[in-house]
Amino acid sequence: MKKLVISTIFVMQVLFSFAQTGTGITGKVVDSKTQKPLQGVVASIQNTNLTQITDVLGKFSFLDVPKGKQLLQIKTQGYKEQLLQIEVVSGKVLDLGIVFFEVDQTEEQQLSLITITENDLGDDNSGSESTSGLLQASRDAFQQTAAFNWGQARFRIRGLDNEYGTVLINGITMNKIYDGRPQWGNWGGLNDATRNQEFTSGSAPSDYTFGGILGTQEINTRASLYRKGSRVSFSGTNTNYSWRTMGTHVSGMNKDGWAFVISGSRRWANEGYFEGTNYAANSLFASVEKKFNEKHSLNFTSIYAQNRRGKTSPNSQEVNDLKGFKYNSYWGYQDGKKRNSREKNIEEPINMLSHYWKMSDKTNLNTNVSYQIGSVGNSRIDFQSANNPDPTYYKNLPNYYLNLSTYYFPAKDENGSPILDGEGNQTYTNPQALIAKNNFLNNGQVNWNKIYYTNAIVNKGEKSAYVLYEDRTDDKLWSANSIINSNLSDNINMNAGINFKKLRSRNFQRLIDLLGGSYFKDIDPFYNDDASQSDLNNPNRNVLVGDDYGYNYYLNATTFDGFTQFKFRYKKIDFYLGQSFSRTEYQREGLYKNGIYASNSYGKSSNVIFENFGFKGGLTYKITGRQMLDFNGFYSTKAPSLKNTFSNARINNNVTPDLRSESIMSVDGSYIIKAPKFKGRLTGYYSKIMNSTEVSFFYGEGLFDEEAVGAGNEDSFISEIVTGINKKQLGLELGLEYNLTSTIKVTGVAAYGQYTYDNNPNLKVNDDAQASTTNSNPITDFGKAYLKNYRLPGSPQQAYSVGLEYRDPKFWWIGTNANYLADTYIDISSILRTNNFTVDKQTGSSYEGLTEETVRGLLKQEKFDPITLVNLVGGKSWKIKSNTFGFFASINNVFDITYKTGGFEQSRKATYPDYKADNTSELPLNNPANGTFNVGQTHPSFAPKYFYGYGRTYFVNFYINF
Amino acid sequence: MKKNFKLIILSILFSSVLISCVNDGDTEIPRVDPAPLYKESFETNFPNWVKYSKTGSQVWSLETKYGNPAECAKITGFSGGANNDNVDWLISPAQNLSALNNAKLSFDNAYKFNGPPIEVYISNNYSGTGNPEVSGVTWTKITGAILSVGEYKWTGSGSLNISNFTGVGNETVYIAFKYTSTSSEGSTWEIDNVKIATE
Repeated sequence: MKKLVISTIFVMQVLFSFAQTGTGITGKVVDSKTQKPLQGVVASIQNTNLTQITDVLGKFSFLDVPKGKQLLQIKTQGYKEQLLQIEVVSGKVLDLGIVFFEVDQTEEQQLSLITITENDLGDDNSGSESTSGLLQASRDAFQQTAAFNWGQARFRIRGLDNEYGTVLINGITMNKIYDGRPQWGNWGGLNDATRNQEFTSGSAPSDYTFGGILGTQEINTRASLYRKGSRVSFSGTNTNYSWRTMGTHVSGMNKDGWAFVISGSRRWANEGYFEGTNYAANSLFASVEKKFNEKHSLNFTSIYAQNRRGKTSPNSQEVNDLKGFKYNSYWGYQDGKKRNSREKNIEEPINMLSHYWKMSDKTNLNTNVSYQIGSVGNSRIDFQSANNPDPTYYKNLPNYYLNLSTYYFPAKDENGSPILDGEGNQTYTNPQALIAKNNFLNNGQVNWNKIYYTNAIVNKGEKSAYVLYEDRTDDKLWSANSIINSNLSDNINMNAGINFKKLRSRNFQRLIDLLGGSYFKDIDPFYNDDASQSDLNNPNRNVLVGDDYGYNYYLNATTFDGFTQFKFRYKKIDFYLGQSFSRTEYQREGLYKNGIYASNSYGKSSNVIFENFGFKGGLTYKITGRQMLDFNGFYSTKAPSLKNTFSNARINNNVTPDLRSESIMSVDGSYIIKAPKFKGRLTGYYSKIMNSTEVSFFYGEGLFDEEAVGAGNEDSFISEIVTGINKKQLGLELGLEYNLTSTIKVTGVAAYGQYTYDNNPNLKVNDDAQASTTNSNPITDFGKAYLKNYRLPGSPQQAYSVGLEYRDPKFWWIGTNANYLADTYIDISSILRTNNFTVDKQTGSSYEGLTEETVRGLLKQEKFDPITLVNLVGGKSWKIKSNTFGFFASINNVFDITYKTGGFEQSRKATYPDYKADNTSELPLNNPANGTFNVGQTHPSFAPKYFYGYGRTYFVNFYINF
Repeated sequence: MKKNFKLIILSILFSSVLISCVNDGDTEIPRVDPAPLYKESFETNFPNWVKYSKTGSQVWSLETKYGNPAECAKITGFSGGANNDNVDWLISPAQNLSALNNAKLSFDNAYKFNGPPIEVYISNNYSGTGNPEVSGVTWTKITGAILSVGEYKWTGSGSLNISNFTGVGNETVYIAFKYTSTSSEGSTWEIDNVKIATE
């Protein structure tokens, strides 16, 4: 197969000869408002390699254009892109005269979009918390609505995770090798500097990469492409941060061929929308270009974005009912200030050198080398031989007491006579539950004072019982790529690229605060003797601030990939073909000799190698100039992410059992209409992702046969490995845009999708407690997880929007839209859906009293209530001399609706009897023998946890361009 | 022609999208076995079972603490500081298996101390009371049960095929556990969760 791919890639290249014809176009671009010429505007002839940048007089001219019908694209940031159809006649230079360029107001809207998305994008890598990053600001009504209006409710286009989209800076992929998702924080806050972007959606062809099935986003940082000028803006909002300042200066190309761009921003909040979420981010950007001659330019880009923020906890319904949806269990007061125990700190600067080589009028070669180094840290409290400091630990909450009959007592009045209800029955009190409730209501946060007291006074300032540590990932990543773009003939355009990446990523636990003690011990107190040692090479080590402990290993990855793509363009039909090949090599290298896995934790693992390929193609049939049919097909295999390759990477070298590459298949078809007043698109899509792997870690009860593992070991902290997962996404997308008058625009957008698990994958469990000198891979096969036809979590599967927009000729505008989002589902627990849940390990048959109906009832997937969100946006700008002043404002969720954006089931109560006991509704128990399961008032301690969307939020931005 | 082409392609696409939809609850679930036809977990003194002592003075009795869980049936030939000769039957109430074409038996067992193992029998012509070892009553020994490894370790017998005792003529089927001990040795046996099920 591999050979076939490679030979196809090369054979296709030689099939086409190079041909040339000569003639030209010229024109001048001016601002429609100021009538002033615009310098630095990019003019390019579509499907050719011809690109020009306007000079000081706003002029451009092409003197060697293939004759016939051509599309001229004129674009620059901040203005509405224009596409002009022109007829080029042989031997003549067509003068287009003056091209008026209109300011694009949606660009200001993008600034507010960022606040919605960057909070969660890929941040916690928890799947259910992240939204699609490719919510883009394109011209398409559907995509715009998905970005601006549905993004706040975590809508994902086609239900697809970020890892199926590709984000590139100068053609270098920014998706992390670790989990396949882009780390948006790496360039967060640099909105001005990252504005030169090109999008493709679905599997449509990009000039820079083969891509996935969600789309691509290419950010171009070449200094000469930025519009000359300076810009300062100041914003206020009540989302994840409160304030933002940003300043940018673009020099434009001087006569010596130098151009530079600098930009910086700061965003901060003492407390964001949710309680205790501090925020501080500083970002800097610089790009310098030197044009040596018409053929060669070099550009150096440096991006530094540092971001520290306090995270927010997912909460159960019990906690939410007591404390409200803004409650966050991660913070507590220390010296009168809110301190968040779980901060995320990102600092991964990127430096990139780019070479632009115009090999001929038809061919460009762009080569980039990038080095990214830095760290991502997530802080948490660690504790040994001490109470769990989590205020929502189940024994701290009333449900724990409400769920046990022994805590109930017959209620008596002050005379000692029983208090009866209306029907004469005894009523009960639960004093412990009341105490827990009051404690939680009055305190209910991390108790830093108690932590310091325990360390400093109880433990006499010696060994800390509690410490603060960071889970750290320190990456060193080299990337290099080369992309060629060539017009093989009048009708054929070719793109090809090669990419190389080498990652060395150190993952470790670092102690950052002893919290009043003077040292900590590097042991795992849940184990004894050797097994309790994190590192047998340095046993019983005392750990101080700045020391690494617990786990410490490298993940090494080397990837190579290449693609070719041919685009054919004819009068009635355009079509394209693309193919890709990649090779991925992963290795773990343990720096600690873990006591549980003495034989397979220290040193290098085996090399894990994947070879993958992909094909895609599509065609556009032009029914008339205004109506089109568009079809795309895609098939590729994809290496598992580094994260899923080593299922227990923190402590051993084992490779995930049954690990395979994913297969991804997608087809879509669209009908597109573009009339002067009316634009519309209707798309149907169907995609399948096969052989996915998911690894998760949790404490589960009743997982193992007591006979086999010994009494007391049935419950354990395990890693759950689900392999061979098939997922299916299908649905319809509709986007309509109608200009009622020249100033009023109506939009109507709909998404109806169905995203489901498409099979019953296999589930295995790794239990460290069962590891021994003879068994260094303690895997138990749990058989099938019955997931088929459950819905995929993380996105509304239905969404509808209507919008109205008024643009006044006097440079102000206002818009509103109403959105209805439905069919959002909870992330289900896989282990609850294996036979382990229903089958009694002692008898080998299903638990007594179980019927299909009961099981179906218990395992029914929770569907969240549909929501209606109304948003308002508006802006105005003024021109004073050559400066533009303006503001943009938006209010999201005007009616302050509280809603769940997602959630997940807890896996702890993994057998029917345990689950039933946690969810019993029979209390207080007059007859404890009556153990029937009824749906009613229950008091679970391990109920699902939820994420909430923002209530009413605002965003105001003031800016000056000069 | 153009119109038709467009219409056909789009209608195929959109209808194929719609017909492949699934409803909520179209899911499979983990294994749930049909409820057993009969189950005895020996929670009270199992009065409807025949406890026939053929030899010796020790008898089948209720164990309230160490069953699987809680209560179970128990017998030991060890008494008064010595082993005794015993033959004791524990016989289930009559089961009507005539309407079935397959059936299986399972039970949990545990024992301690040396002695002859427990034996399992099945009959369709026992009278339901009195001595099981009278002429005219045939007992078929059921073999293949997984027995405890001792030290009161509870063990499931596994599924034992008793399909030969289904269909016409099997209106009254009895399951029996036969305990034997001698004056030189005798085990303590415990039986719990006797189940008869069909597929």
